[in-house]
Amino acid sequence: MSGREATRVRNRIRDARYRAGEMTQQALADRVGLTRQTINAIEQGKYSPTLEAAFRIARALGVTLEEVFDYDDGAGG
Amino acid sequence: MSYRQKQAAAALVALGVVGLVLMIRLIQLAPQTMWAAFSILLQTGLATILITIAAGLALRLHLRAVGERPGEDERDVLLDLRSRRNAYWFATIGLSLVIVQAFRGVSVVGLAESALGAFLVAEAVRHASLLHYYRRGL
Repeated sequence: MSGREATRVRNRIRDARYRAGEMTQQALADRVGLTRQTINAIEQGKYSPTLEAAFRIARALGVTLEEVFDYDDGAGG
Repeated sequence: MSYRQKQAAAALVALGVVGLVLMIRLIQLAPQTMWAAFSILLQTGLATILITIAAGLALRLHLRAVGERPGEDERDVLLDLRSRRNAYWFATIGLSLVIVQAFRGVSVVGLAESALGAFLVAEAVRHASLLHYYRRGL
């Protein structure tokens, strides 16, 4: 991730895209009904998707929600 | 820069131009009648609409040329709502000042100018907020 992060929701979408046959941001965006710019913003930590969109992203990448998203609440868990 | 960012930037520039022209005209003409002030308000409103439409058309043509699709999703809606909320506060403060001016006996022309100024500032805040949120995140 790069730049200032505006959210505490961490994600591994980029890695998951790579593992899913080097899927492009545009391809993922088309599958989940978001724009490429939004996928990019999520990857950079500039935007936290809704729960529904998070589930769609995880399913499109063929992984569980926990494998893609993580919440940093400062508790170290 | 995405389509939405370009759109917000274009609107901001358009509002800046319209606001500047309005200010110059008001200073030059110094309208003393209600009709003169109304005429300027009408012209400014029409100019804003025409410039916004022209900028939108130009953007869509540009996007078609480069093959980009102007879609809208949950993030666009959220950022738009947040930006409108910011603009709402400025519009509320501006219109409150107009009401205070009315009680202090400011002319109708002065009130109309202030109301239009508040509207322009609020719109500028909305588009500037959009640009900020798109660039920095939410």
